Amino acid sequence: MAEHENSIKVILFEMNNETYGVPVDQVLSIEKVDAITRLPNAASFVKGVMNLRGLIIPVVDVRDRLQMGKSEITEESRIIVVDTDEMKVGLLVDLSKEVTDIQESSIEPAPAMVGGPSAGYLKGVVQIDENKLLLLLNLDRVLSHEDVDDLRSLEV
Amino acid sequence: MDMSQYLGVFLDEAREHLQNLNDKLMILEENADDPELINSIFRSAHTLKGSSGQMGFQNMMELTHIMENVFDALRHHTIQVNSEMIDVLFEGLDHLEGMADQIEQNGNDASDVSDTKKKLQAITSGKQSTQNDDPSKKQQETKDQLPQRDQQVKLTDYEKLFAEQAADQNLTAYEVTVDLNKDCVLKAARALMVSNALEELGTIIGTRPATEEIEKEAFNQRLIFIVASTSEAEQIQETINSISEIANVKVTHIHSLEDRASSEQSQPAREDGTSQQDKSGKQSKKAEAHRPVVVAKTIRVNLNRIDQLLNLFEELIIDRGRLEKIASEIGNATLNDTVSTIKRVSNQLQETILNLRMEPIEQVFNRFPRLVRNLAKELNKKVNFVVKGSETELDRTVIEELGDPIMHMIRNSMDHGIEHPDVRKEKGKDPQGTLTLAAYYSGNHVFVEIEDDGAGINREKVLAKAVEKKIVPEESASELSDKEVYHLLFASGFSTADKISDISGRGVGLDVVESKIHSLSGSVEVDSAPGKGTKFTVKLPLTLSIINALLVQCGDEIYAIPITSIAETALKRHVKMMNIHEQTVAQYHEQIVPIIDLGDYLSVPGYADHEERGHSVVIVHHGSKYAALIVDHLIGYQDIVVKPLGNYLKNVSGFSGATILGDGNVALIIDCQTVMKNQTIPSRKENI
Repeated sequence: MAEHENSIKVILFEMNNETYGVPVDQVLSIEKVDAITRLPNAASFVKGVMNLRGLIIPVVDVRDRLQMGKSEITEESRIIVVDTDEMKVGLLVDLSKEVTDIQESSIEPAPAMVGGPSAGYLKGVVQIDENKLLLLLNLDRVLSHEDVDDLRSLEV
Repeated sequence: MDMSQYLGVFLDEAREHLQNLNDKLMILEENADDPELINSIFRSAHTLKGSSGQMGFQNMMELTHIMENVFDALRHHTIQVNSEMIDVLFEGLDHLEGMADQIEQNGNDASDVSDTKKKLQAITSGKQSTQNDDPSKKQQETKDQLPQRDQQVKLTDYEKLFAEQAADQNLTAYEVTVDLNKDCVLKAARALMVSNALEELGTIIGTRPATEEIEKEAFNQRLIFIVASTSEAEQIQETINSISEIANVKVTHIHSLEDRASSEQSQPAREDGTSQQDKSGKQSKKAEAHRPVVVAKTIRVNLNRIDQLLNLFEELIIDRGRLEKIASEIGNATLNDTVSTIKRVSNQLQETILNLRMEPIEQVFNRFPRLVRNLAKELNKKVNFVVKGSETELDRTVIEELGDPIMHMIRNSMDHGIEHPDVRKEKGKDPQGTLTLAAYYSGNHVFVEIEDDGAGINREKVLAKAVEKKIVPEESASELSDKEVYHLLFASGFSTADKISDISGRGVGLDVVESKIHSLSGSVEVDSAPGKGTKFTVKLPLTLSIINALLVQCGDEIYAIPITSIAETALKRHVKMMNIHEQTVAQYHEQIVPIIDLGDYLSVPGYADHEERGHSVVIVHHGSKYAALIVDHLIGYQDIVVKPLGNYLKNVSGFSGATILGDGNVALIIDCQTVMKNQTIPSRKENI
């Protein structure tokens, strides 16, 4: 019983052949990639803005945000629209998958990874398969502007 | 009993009463002997006490009660108005306002007001005997007794005329007397239900008390409606009785108007011997008889619903654009007719919806008399504050943002503009300065002016300061026009006050004003005459949500330029261009303006080697600054719905928002002010 109370539902998606997850209660919808309008002057990982049923939603290339190179838009690309901190933002990901339950007790702190996103962008990792790790994104950190300004000043 | 459903109405009404108290207290200080004024104050406080008590906000009720005691003492001339007293009363009002905010946010009115209470009690103590402690109660009793009589109201001429006409149309005129339950909470809401029910059965010709009074809950339990209806008396009675919290309903025919004459004569006698308040009440009744009773009915609507309505309408506008495009492609005459009808109707709908969002600027202006009074005291200056055009209406989003900028300008005028009384006397001016705050319409804009008759702006002093602070290079200082110099006041980090005062001159303030007003798509100008005074003029658009814009194409991208920023459009080959110091500039009328190639500026992909580039020129302006924007093509003018880019993108500059085009794609709206920033043109003198 107690275990049930401590489980959270996450939506799984893929980037760079790694499986990531964000909590379902932060997700508004999952959209196919339609027209994205480029936004000049914005940070490079801001892919642009899109029309989500009358709302203007910024689209963030998560891969680029995690400094893993730019995403290619394919048939399978999806935009996961999340709602945090009274901001609605679309996350561009390679592929979206099922919703799964994970036990909070099974979440472990994120180890430093080689070639992957720095641990600050992750809330933790969960072993979901014998040889598969689920990386839980720390949305607040991914969508924060803190180190963004540093990035921008580098670009200029 | 669950009060939460009444909370919104209670707060709205409480705020209205607080505002009334605020306004009237200001006037009271100068007109201490006006019985009507003090009565109005007393009534507001009394109602507020009652309703806060009913809602269970004990703290608020107690404070209001003590304030009410002061008003009552004033009413009976046991104490006299003085400046300190007004200060304490304002302090109490501030607490009450704070409580109202707190109730809205946390649902409680907890706040430490013992200090203010003591000060208020000190005003009345010794001058008010204990038996007078709850005067409202006594008054309530006398009032309560009055309506118990079988009241036949006196009809105004207008009502008589209407009743006669009703008879001609086979309608019957009734006098409907409704008594609400004694413990009825929010009587105004019940009264509204009664009047709505009566409206369904017939026409309301008049009410006792007047509609405004009913809305303010300035009545006891009894309401009287004069109604013309085809229905039978019994039916009316039944309908009203079905409304809850009604104690008693009496419907009587108004048979012959001559009959009324006798009862009218008996009326004055009834009111004899009652308090002063009733007398003044009669005066206002008399005044009312001279004007036709315009029963403009209002309902309170949750703002979210209006915003929702606007959002739905915005989607409609986007689809309308799509429809127009399809229709023009198909070219079917019937379809085109229908589309143009839809367009016309939706334009009217747009105007109506936007009007719903309009509110009088009064809400903002209302705060300033207090501010000016306090500042005048603090600065030891004498100021006559004049407010004009407070009925001018503006979109509520604009109104909400306008308070701070106006406050800064008023502070500035009070601090730097208006001189000390003895200085003014020396200059041969009236020792009392005048500060005018005015609002008015002109075209599609609303103007707000803040004008003082003070010392004016010292051009040399401003320039010296600007040069010292490196806001203006020394070489070009002498070239600036007076207006440009005055405008330096808005530059950030600018402060001319010789000594830093508490009021303004902290170096922040006026630059915040300009950026705020720009964010509202407005502009601000300063005009001044040395020794005569200074005038700030703020120009604001009537509404922000739907604007007319020019769509332009750059490469494969489409951008929108607000029509308010556009001076002219032209084909590039018609524009005279020249090179100055290796910079290409354009000539627009007599001016040399910088050229901005939008495609380059926005680094449009593939723009550099694209053949169709730069066919058209849009001359844009911001204030007195002009620039020539080069774009590929002009697509056309269109009404667009301005959507914010949102919090996440708040640091992205160059765009004031985005809009959704007919094909569902997003187009960015160019913010000409930022685009033109950092654009300079070589000095004029050397080159031409």
